[in-house]
Amino acid sequence: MNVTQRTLGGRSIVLNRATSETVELTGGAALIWIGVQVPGTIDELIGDIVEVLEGADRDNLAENFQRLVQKGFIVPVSSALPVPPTSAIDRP
Amino acid sequence: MTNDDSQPLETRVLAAMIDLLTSKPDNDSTAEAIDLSDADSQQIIDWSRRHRVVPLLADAVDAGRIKVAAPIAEQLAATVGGIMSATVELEDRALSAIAVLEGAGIDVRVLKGLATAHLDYPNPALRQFGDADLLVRPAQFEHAVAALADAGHPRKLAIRGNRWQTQHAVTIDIDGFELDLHHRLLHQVAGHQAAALDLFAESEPYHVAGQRLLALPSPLRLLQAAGQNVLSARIDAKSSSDVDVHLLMDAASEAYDMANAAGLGWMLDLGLASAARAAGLRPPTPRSANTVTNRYLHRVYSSAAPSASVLAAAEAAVAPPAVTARTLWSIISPGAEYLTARDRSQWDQIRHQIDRLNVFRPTGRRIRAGLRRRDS
Repeated sequence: MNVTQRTLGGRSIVLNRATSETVELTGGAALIWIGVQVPGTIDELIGDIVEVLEGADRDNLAENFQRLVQKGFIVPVSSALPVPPTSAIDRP
Repeated sequence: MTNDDSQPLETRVLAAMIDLLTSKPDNDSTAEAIDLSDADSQQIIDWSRRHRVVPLLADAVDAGRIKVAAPIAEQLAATVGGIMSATVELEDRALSAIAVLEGAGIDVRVLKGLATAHLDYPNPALRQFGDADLLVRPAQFEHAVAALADAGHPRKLAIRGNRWQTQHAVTIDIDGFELDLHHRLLHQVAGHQAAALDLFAESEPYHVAGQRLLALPSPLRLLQAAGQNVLSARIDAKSSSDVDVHLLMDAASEAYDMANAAGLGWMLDLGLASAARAAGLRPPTPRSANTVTNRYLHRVYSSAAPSASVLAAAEAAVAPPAVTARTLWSIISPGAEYLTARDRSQWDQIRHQIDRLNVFRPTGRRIRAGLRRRDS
């Protein structure tokens, strides 16, 4: 998957390159997109995701993201950005 | 690693984080958990934000090595989510910038967190970083800045003419995030010394989001992390560099070979000792070559307020016969940083005095005289 991503503590956050925003993947979405192991209900989640993405263009990230967002598998998190970093180099 | 109650809380927490990172997966650690009160938890979260080790703290809480109240654990998890979000955005911008530079025929090496996260940590999400650092050859530096500007990434502060040479790096705005474009590996005097090393001779490739990147080999990554500890100790030290040092210790022998060849042994001694002390460990035995340069720079950088005579002796040991203003300033700047650490409000005043003294000309006597007047 050619987008930057981080996974820690069961949370998976990826960049949506179509919008340059980050989103959190939940459950089956994380499983599909990143390969995170989600215990318990994998089959059920895979089924849900497959249904959501059925007929989608595999390479159309924007459309796939949109479908998963609409179904609640992807949660936008860009609004949770912390204070921008500051550099030591040009500090006055 | 011990959980010694006599150590400062931050030291004990950092030790627990490093222990967790460096323990074998099948090793059931018997280390006692650190139980934090709500007040202590807030203190540690604030510290972890300043030192860019929030994901490591969250991981230690998840692993039960550090215990906090449930609402605080939730607050921590939310903070980590924000950090991961910022990191993937920053990383994406950095990948674009690297593509621009490589497209312009510029050799690029990825430095610091953007490299160590992927090469040295068991999970890149554990390495927090607030900016991206790239190294280019000095001869290609101006070309690199121009290529990024053409791609819509301006420098954050305009510097006239060739004054960029007085800094080891400049900051570029990459769509709201910071890219520090280096032409020297390190700042202050160490940057000039490291110029003796061929930093582009070897590289360690890795991939992020399908893009091939080149980092420095691990001995140079250790040298950089240790140097960061020493050179930024009084102004901008981050525990994330301490952790980098611990994760790169397998490369110490090769790093010493390189450091001693460049007269940088003093820096590796101090950097490894600093990282050890930060985690409550005994510093390793110094392995720098016994040279005048090492002895005097060791004194300059291990002293809270190096005297004018020590600075002058270090300058004589390090500087070439024709002392350049850049080298001189590189040596003197620890004194200015000391004052800054004592009272940050003095920074503007110090910078004003430095500008007035015109450090960009080879006028060493005037600079030293000015610093003496300031100190008195």
